Amino acid sequence: MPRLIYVGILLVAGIALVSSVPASASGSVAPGGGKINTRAAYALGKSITFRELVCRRTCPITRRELNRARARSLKDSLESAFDENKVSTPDDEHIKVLCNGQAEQCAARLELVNYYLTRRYRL
Amino acid sequence: MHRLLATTLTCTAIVFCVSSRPLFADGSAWLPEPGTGHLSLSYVSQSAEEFYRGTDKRPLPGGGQEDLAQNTVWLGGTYGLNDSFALDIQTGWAKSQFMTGPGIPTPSESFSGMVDTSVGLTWRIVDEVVADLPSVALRAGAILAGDYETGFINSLGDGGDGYEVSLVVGRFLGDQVGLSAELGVRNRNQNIPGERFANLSGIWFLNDSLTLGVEYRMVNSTSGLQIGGPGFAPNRFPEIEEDTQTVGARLYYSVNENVSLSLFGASVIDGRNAAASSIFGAAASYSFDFF
Repeated sequence: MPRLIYVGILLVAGIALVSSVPASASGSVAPGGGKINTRAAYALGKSITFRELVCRRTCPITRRELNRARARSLKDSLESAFDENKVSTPDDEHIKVLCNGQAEQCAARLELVNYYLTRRYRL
Repeated sequence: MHRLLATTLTCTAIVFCVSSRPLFADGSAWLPEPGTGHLSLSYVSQSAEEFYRGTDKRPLPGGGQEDLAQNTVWLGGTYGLNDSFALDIQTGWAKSQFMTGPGIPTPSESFSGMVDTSVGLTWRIVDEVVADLPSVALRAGAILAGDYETGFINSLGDGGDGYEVSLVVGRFLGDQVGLSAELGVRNRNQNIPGERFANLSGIWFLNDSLTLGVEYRMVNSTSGLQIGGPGFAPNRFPEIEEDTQTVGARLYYSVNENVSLSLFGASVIDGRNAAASSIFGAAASYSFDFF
């Protein structure tokens, strides 16, 4: 199910931007970029991470604490969050903040944060 | 939370924004995800029947049949190095045409060749996804002159190497509208006047497949010769004070997750020592992922 939600988010994302134009007496007008990017999961995961899990005051983890090793620990916790036989990790308690009062969205949010950390820190 | 989700969705969707005037890539505060990027292939046709001599708009001497025209095939790409830095490159091939009136000589009616190439590095300083501020980025780019002849009205460019630096700010307002602004300077060798430029653009997500974009671009040379003024000669075309203001619109169609198409048109609405060009083009873009 989390996978379905995640894929749905990606599909909804689409679109691109770019532009083009200007001209002058000499020279070609540039075309601009124009592209599609359906990888909204990264920005969503980043947003959730830094608004709820890692921030200066109200989050369980401060920004200074987040490095590649800590990201690895968080990733392990996120990936085993729904595994009844999992081995507990130091960040199991911390990631619960991602599911407060939003149980139906919990799995998707965990997956988005996991996606962001994996890409950001090349885990 | 829904609003946040929608905002971040649309925010991520915009990866590379804008391009600018002849030969030069535009900056964007919205960077590709690390390890991903896109390639774009574009065809741009620009033509003019009038030009600005100084600020005075008057007909070109060919009698009004696309007197001054240039068609360019552009190849561009952007790649997200990490969360804060992205590389961009743009190059192309062009062919120009210049038709004069009866009895007016022209050295060559047509030129063709590689146009200038730009390579840029963008550093995103603020990401609106995690801050209550607009996205802010700095872009620095190198400009490498193409292999064309200069000194003609229909030369493919000004033929100078140089650099450009710009500050870019982008912000999404709600779920469907995004705004971007860029201010920068550009300097090249070969006595080409320095330039200040500004690009403003807005996009509106009509639905999951279609996006409408509008833009305004201004390029202002800080000095230079006037066409027909003291010191001017045709071989000194790169040294003229060339200003333009352009408005345009673009329609994007998202074919699938990786491919998008766009059509665009623009017009020079004011200028100095510049062609009063009309511009049309089409672009196809492909997203890739090296992660």
